[in-house]
Amino acid sequence: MESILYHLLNGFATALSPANLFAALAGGLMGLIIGVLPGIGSVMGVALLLPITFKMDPTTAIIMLAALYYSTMYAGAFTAILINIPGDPPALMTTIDGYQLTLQGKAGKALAVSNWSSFVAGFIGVVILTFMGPLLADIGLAFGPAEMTAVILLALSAIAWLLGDDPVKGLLATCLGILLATVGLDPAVGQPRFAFGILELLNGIDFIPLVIGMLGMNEIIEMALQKGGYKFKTTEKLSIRSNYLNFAEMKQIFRPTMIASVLGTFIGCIPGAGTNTASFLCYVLEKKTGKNRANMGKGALEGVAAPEAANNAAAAGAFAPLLALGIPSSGTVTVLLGGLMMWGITPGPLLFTEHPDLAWGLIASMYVGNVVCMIIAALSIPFMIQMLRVPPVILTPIIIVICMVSAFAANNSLFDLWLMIIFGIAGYFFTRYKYPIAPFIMAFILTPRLEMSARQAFDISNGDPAIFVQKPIALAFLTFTLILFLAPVVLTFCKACRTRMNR
Amino acid sequence: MNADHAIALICGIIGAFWAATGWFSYGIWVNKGPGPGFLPVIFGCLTVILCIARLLRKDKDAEPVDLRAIAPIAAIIVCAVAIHVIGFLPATFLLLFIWLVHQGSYSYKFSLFMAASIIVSIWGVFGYWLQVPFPLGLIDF
Repeated sequence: MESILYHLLNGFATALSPANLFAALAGGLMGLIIGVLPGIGSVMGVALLLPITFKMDPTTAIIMLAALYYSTMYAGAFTAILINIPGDPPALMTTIDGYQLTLQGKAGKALAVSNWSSFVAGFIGVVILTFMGPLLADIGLAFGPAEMTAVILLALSAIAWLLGDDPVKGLLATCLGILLATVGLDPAVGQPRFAFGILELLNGIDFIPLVIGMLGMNEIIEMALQKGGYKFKTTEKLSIRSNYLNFAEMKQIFRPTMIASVLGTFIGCIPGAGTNTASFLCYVLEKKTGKNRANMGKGALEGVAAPEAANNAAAAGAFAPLLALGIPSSGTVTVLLGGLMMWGITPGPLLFTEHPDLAWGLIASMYVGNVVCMIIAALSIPFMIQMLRVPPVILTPIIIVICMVSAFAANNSLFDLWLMIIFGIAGYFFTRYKYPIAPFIMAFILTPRLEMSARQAFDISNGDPAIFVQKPIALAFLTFTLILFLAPVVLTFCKACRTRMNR
Repeated sequence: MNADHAIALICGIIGAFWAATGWFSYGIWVNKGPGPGFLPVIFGCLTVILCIARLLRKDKDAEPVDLRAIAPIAAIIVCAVAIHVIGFLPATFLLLFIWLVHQGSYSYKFSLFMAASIIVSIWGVFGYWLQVPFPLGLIDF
């Protein structure tokens, strides 16, 4: 414990040097811009910045890249809250309640909740990483394909809680999401599926054009239809003070933020689970168990706090397997690993002894970066809200062009632009006829991972499904999934029996 | 048949196609594990069942399609086609300009200024900074 604190203080001495502080500030600012742009996620941001950092001192460079990664997690929520378009995939769940709050004239509050919960979760995540890094890495390693299959099955079954008023429509949307995710090369045998001879479809359907189309274009159509009198209520003042959270609001988001912070950190360290699964599971958990669950989906502050806290905590957790074992657990961390190797540094158990300046400097910079990102994000809230004051007739074509550019920029492909248009039309019909979009997108995100993990598990066990019950973690998750499925049925049955007995 | 039923029918056809292709072309169980057709068959069949359930139900709240929605969709489609011909930035510039003039009833001068400012900003962030190679179109504009 004492040695950790000693090293951490040394790390702070490194992180707080003017050059490193400036690097964190620059990375934070760039991450904010990149995170706000739909389609340009943290992976692309870090990849773009990597060549620039080549001539820098490795510690300064990794601090800059980590600040950028962190900052994109903050900024992804901005467009999700303001215009219903998630800046990055983990912000998808934030759109549900965040955008509702914007429509109610509480965009500033929603952004403040997002910032505050991101900051608290980021801090808790880094504290857990500091003191339990090797343990987190071991937990991550304990998740093999069988365990991952069980986790993804749990997440998929949790979609049932997002089905909305009409379960048939919700289930239909979920099934369509799963079917669409099977387009492209099969992950196990490499057979092309449902590509219809189109070369671009062999890689599958990209998430970015799908989500921009389903959510963004759909919103554009709605805005265009309500020309002259759109539904934003922009009564908020242009000041940071007016967007402070009061004690009652802080108390309201305390529980979901704390739960999502711890849970998110642990999910983040599981290779392949990542920030998407963390934000989704924490949102669903809050929807099912939260005190304000009746208002979830209708503009609840908890609906913003839970996913935002989870994705920031998961971003911190993702560093544990990288630093302790040299194993990347997410796309962005893989690019960071590439950067470390470019500077001749091999992450792993020896990193803390061979390059203590870098390892502890990076961890300390995450504390500093978290504060820097929070300040930058908080200062930008009043200006972000101004976006809603722009007349809809000007805002609509600007959003159209940004959506088109983002859909194209994801893979530099015009095919993706057409996909966005097709999904935009589909999204309009989904909304018009009350098919929930969130289950569709979540099923689309989770299915490829499920398919890959299940296939790997069967390969390991030589086709024996017993692998799922022989592994304790997988068995625990599968049992939990089964309980979640059966609980409503048993409860309904008990209720019916009780009613009958009372009669 | 209302639009709600039409959606269910389209989804049902998609589900049936996915299930049939998965079953006959890809295989459900291959090399002692779930094959490429495993998920398409299971969820394709489930989709068909759910669509039948929807077709048998009458949704009282089903709203008719708002035909005005065709205008913004058409504008985006025309812009996407124009991108192939004149390139990304000129096509999106025209979209912005025409939208501001026709939908916003702004003056030509203001619309031109706004459209140009937005396109320059987009080129600055995406083209210059993020190195996104915008397509130049058939006429290399």
